[in-house]
Amino acid sequence: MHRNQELHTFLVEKAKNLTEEWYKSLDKSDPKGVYSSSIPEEIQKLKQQNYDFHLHLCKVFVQEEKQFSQEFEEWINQIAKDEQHLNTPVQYILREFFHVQEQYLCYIDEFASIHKGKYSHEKVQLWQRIIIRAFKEVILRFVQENQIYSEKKLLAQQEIIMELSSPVITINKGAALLPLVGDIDTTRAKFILEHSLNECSNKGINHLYIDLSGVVMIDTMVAHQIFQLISALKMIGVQTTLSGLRPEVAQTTVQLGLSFEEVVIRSDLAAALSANEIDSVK
Amino acid sequence: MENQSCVKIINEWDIVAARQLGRNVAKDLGFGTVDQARITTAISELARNIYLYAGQGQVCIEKIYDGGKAGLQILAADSGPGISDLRQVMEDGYSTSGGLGAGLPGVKRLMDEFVIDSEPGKGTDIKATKWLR
Ligand SMILES: Nc1ncnc2c1ncn2[C@@H]1O[C@H](COP(=O)(O)OP(=O)(O)OP(=O)(O)O)[C@@H](O)[C@H]1O
Ligand SMILES: [Mg+2]
Repeated sequence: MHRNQELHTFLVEKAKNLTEEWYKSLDKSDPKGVYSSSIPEEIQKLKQQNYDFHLHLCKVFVQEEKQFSQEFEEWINQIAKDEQHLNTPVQYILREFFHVQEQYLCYIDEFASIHKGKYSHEKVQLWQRIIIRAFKEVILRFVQENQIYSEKKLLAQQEIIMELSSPVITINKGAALLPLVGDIDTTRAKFILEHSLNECSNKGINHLYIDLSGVVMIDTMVAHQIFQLISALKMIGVQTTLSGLRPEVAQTTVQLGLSFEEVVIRSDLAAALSANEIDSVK
Repeated sequence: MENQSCVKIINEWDIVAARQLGRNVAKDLGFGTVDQARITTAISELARNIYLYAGQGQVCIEKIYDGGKAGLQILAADSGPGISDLRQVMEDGYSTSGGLGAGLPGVKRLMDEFVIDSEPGKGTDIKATKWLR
């Protein structure tokens, strides 16, 4: 049996020390991340998080395994989605986990020497193994959670970039501009389709000008997506005008056998806009 | 093998990488903007076909020299399902994926030479060349 109330009490009483010692011995020269922060609130928060960790970890010597894991869950999730920790390279976080693990192994030695003769060598070894096992579990779960949150963050950022790179800009009542720039892959093409349909219906647009002067290549996939966008827009009552097709792009699309016959095309945006003005005067 | 560079096509990003490689080599050889666009578009079609129909494969870009002239050769190779009716896939509008069916016939028109070699169950090799004039 590894559970021991006396050891638990000893460690809980040392928890504040553990935190202070740990923070003092931190190498604060990391180029980035939570450990080298010099903002007092962040340092305070970091120490509190470390202290809470100890309160949880000590319980490995008094609690049932299942309850121990359950109660730890909250701490792990909090650290994993903590902005400061998310901005810290994971190797630094792992380094600190092992740093703290070392502290525990030392304190167990200290506890054993205070109670010389009371606990067998085997017992002390068992406690140390328990510590290592508990750390292993916490670290693995932390890394797993951290990975999930990092991926979520990355997805959110990608979403923002996507939105920024396909803006539907209102130019006057009922008319809007969608300038497309750069490489278009299927993910982006799908996003552009959905996003501009939504934007046109939300903003009450009935004429969308798609400017392609920033698109360096149109292959069959991109063309197919543009055609689909145009027909979907048509179904919600939006008329489309394409403009700014680069000469080299125009030539390749013709050779690909793509027909833009049913699409209104103007040489550049200015021509597209003024053509529409004449139309509306008529 | 300094004259040949390859890009493995495993996910969609690799199509962009193959395209960029082709554009760089084309620029390097001195192709004009229209031919650069033709070459990049052809690579895009072949790489996307690999990604869509074979799952994975590779696209190699090679600088070739024949007598006095220089050119760029695209080699697209995969070990996918292959194509049983080569005449059919070269027809405009034929597609098994709901696409425009313009890719392969388009590549043939964009490039100067086009050779397709495919065996059902074994894979597909496509060689397309553009000569510098
Ligand atoms: N590497 C390949 N392996 C197996 N089948 C292929 C391969 N490349 C093309 N095909 C077959 O040939 C058909 C025609 O290809 P093509 O590129 O001309 O048109 P698509 O890919 O269907 O549409 P698009 O290229 O216009 O978007 C495809 O639908 C597919 O069935
Ligand atoms: Mg294709």
